[in-house]
Amino acid sequence: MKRNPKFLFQKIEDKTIVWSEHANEYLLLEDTTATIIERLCAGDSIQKIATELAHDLELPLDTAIDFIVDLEKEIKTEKAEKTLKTAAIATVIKKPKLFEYIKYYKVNELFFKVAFSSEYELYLIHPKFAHLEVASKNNPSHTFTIFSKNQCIYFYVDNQFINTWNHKEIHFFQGKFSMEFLQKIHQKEESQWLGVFHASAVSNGKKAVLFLGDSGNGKSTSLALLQANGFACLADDFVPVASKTQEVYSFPAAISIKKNSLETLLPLYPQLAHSAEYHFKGLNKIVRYLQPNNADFISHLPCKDVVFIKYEKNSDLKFDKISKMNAFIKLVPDSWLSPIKENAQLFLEWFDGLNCYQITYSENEKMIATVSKIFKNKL
Amino acid sequence: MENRQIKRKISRKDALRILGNYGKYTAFTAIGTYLILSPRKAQAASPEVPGTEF
Repeated sequence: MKRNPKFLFQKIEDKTIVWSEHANEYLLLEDTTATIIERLCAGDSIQKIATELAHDLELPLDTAIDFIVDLEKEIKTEKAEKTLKTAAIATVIKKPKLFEYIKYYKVNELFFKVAFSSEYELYLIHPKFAHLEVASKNNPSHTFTIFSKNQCIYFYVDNQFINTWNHKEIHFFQGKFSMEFLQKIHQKEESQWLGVFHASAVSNGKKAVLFLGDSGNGKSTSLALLQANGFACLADDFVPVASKTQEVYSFPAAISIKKNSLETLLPLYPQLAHSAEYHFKGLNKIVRYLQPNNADFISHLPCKDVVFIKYEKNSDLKFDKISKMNAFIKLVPDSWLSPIKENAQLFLEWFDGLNCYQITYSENEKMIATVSKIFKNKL
Repeated sequence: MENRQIKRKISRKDALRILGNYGKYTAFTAIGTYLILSPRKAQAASPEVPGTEF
């Protein structure tokens, strides 16, 4: 395996995380196993590594050799990836002549024109960005075009084809829309981001804290509570981190509020009583959208703290520091992480510097007080 | 996320010898066990597919 190393190694706690470039996967290994991979990459012979392993673990040499051969095979296996040959399709698809809805959004000094061919496409995007809507404008900074044909959705930015998705992959279309929007807002290409996290980001103006948790655990509700108590919403659901600065960047999507959180939030946000309600039948979800209290969509802040948050009825406040490995296992499968080696290295270094916590709560005041302590480093 | 274990060919004689020293056997099992985490291959929103009532 004497080739350009396609692995990155990061020791975290009692394990080593190994990133493989060909699959953009993170392997959590015992240090011994990671060292074997490192030595294979450096060109050490299997015989030599196996002799030392057999000695250290009192194994028969053949067993150690078999193990290393199998390990090498495993890490070298190319994973077949599904790639859609979409570019070819796009060339033969004609854009519709009529777009039923044209919306204009203003973010900082940029004007976006978004053309939706029907109500279906409108409601995939518009509710999250309705608070940015402005009157029509000549010479928009960017034009996004969205239409459906043959059960597929097509997406263009400034007349350039981006991709197509079938209707079962709509959340990937929505993610791509957000990614293109983000790139234009912060003027950074996709290669300049180390990742996008399925989280909420809260700031005190000086730094950011990331809140993570399974869907339904109360991330957005906690964010809404925090923004009513002196904190700012930097991003909800789609939290980008840039590679160069390793900072969290703001993203202007509205906060999605589920129906069962309304009772808690109405006293703080009376406007929710009259805001439109959206029924997501497939997911049995009814949501309203709450405008973020942050209007500075240029801002970006360092982040050293990650909190896994969970609302649990009648629960006492539980607050613990959790292992980084535990946090890593929860974080990675739900995130988009750049497949570029330099960005993967920066992600691993950034992650290594994080403090990871877990909060379970039922009393809002106690949760807010604990988060305040995290911001003030008073734990 | 998936758990994998490297396959090892081991004779009964070797297995019994290794089991004689349980600590070493555990260490060998541990180094062959690892977790693979795959991030999402594309950016995604929370899965929300709209219905017709809004």
